[in-house]
Parts: sequence; C-alpha cells; structure tokens
Amino acid sequence: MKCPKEKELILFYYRELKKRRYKSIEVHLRECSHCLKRYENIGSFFAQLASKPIQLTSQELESMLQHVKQTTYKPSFLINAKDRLEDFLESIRLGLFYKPQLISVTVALIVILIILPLVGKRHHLNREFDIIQIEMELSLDSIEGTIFDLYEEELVLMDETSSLEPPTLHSKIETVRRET
Amino acid sequence: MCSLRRWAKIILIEMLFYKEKELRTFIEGLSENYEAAFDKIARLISQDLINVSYHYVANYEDAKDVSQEVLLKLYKKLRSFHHASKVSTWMYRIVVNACIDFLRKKKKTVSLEETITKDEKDTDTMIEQMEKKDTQERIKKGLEKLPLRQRNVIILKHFEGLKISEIGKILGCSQSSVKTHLYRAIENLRKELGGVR
Repeated sequence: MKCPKEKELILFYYRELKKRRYKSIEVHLRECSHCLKRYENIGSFFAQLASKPIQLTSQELESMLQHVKQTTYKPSFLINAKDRLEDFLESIRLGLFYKPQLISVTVALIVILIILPLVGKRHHLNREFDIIQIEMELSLDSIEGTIFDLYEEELVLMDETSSLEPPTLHSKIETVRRET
Repeated sequence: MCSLRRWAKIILIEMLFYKEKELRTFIEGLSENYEAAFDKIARLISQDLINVSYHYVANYEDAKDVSQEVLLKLYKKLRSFHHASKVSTWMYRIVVNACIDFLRKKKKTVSLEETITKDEKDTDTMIEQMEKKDTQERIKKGLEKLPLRQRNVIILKHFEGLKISEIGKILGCSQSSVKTHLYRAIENLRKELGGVR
C-alpha cells in the first residue's frame, strides 16, 4: 500500500474515513514507521490545540437570562414570518460564503437585469427619434417643394404681368398653410 | 491512547450536537410553558454557546455578549422553529452567524489577553504557566488570522467535535468543501504556530 496523503491522515485522526480505508491505513501505520511518525506529529499538534472548556458561572447565566426575558416580545404572524425569512436568509448566507462563484454569478445577473431594460429603452428612444426626424424631413420637403413651386408660378406670372408686385415669402407660406 | 479516547468521548458528550434528544423534548414543552422550557434550553446550551463563541472572538467578555445575543435570538425564534433540520444544526447556524456578525462589526478583535483557570494556577509552576499562556496566545492568534471559512470549519470540527457531514449541513456546503477548508486551516495553523510540524 502507498503511503497515505497528509489530508487522509488528518481524516484518519478524526475517524472520518470510510471503514475500509480506515482499516487499511491502520494496518499501514503498524508497518510504516515514517507514516507513524507523520501521524504522531499530527497527534501532537492537535494535542497542543486542546484547551480547557470555559465555564460560564451560574450568576452570569442568570443575569443573561434576566436580560433576555426583559426584552418585550409579542409574537405575531408577521414576526413569525420575518423570523422564518431570517432563518432562510441565514442558511443561504452561510452557503454563499462557501460558494463565492455563486455570488459573482448572482451579481452579474442583477447587473444584467438592471442594464438590459435601460439599453432597450435607449434603443427604443433612438428609434422614435429617427422616425420623428424622418417625418420632419418629409414635411419640410413638402413645404419647401410647395413654396418653390408657388414661387416659380409667381415668377412666371410676374413676367407675364410686370405691373403686379411680387408676393412676399411670408404671404406665400400663409397660403400654403391655408391650403394644407 | 485508550484514556485519550475516553477523555475525548466525555468532552464530546458535552457538545450541543449530542443534546439533540433533550432539546427536542424541551422544544415540545414550549407550547405548555414557554418561559420554563426556554429556561431549561438556555441552561442546557449555555456552556456550548460560550465555548463556541469564545473560539471565534477570543475574548471572554465578547463571548458573553455573543452568547447573550444568541439567547435573545433563540428566545424570539424558538416559537417559529419548524423542524426542517436538527435543533442543534439550527442552533449552531445561529451561533456561527452571530459570531461572524460580531467579528464584522468589531473588525479588529481585542487583544488576546485571557484568564487561566484557577486549578491551573494552583498546580502549574510559573514557567509552565508562561509556556501554556504563550502557546494559547499563539493558537488564538493563529485562529484569528485564518479566513472565516476555514475558521468556521476548524472550530466546528476540532473544538466542537462535529462530524464533517453535520458541518456541511450547518454551513450549507458540500462535505468535500468542508474537508478542503479543514485541511487548509490545519496547514495554516501549523505554519503559524511554527516548529510543531
């Protein structure tokens, strides 16, 4: 059998391996002095980490309980729902803590959801603006055309009857407006 | 080796995870007399609360504050506990979240000056006391330097003695993720403590 990895030795120490693997490592440790030393090192390191549990005195506990019970709390449907939501969010929060890639995906999705409608709106506005511009150009063309035509007609009339005064541009526009 | 295992077993029995049955019975009693049942629950879990939070905040007074905060949350939320998970898993989740919140609020944890229990003072010599204090401080500093993801796992696994599958449920991540973070945490602690390897 190959020497187990460090990670496996740690899991062996915690008895977190499957039975079969656990037994094979146990046998290996009896045979391989090098691995046994590695395992002993892990054991001594963990022994260093061991600390005596802290004791909360009964007085301290009593005062804590008193403080808790002093806070006024009236349960209601809304508060219960809020508590449940909080529970749910707390579990999700810890989960997200261990899946940072999920956070970035969520942020990206939110950004896309915010930006997309804005881009769409802008595109829509541009299109509307284009339509208005085209309409304006068309109407200008028709006005200009009409004025030009009128002016041409007037010039012809002027040549024919030179005694008459040429009409002003303003009066011509007025007539075009009336006609339209 | 045998005595070490027996000692570990005694410690583990004290853990919150091993009080599931009692907790369930007390929760059932909440409908009859809320105050009395909550009192029993609080007394049952108070030592666990202070120990877990102490490993996070590395200061007795802060640990007391966090424990009180957790008790307050439990007092409000026990009514709406809907048995979707084990009671202990749910409680651990509340404690871990409270500790993370506390650390975020505080940002910089206070100096790691801590008390040595009375019997240690009586039996140990001055040099032994100094050595113990020094090692304890190095461990606490090492724990403080760990990223929160690794700290969660090492505290729940090593100090609370929970199963990896249970830690996965509490933290909402896969077992392989717990194993990876545990290994990294141990490696980082070894580097930090130096010379132990």
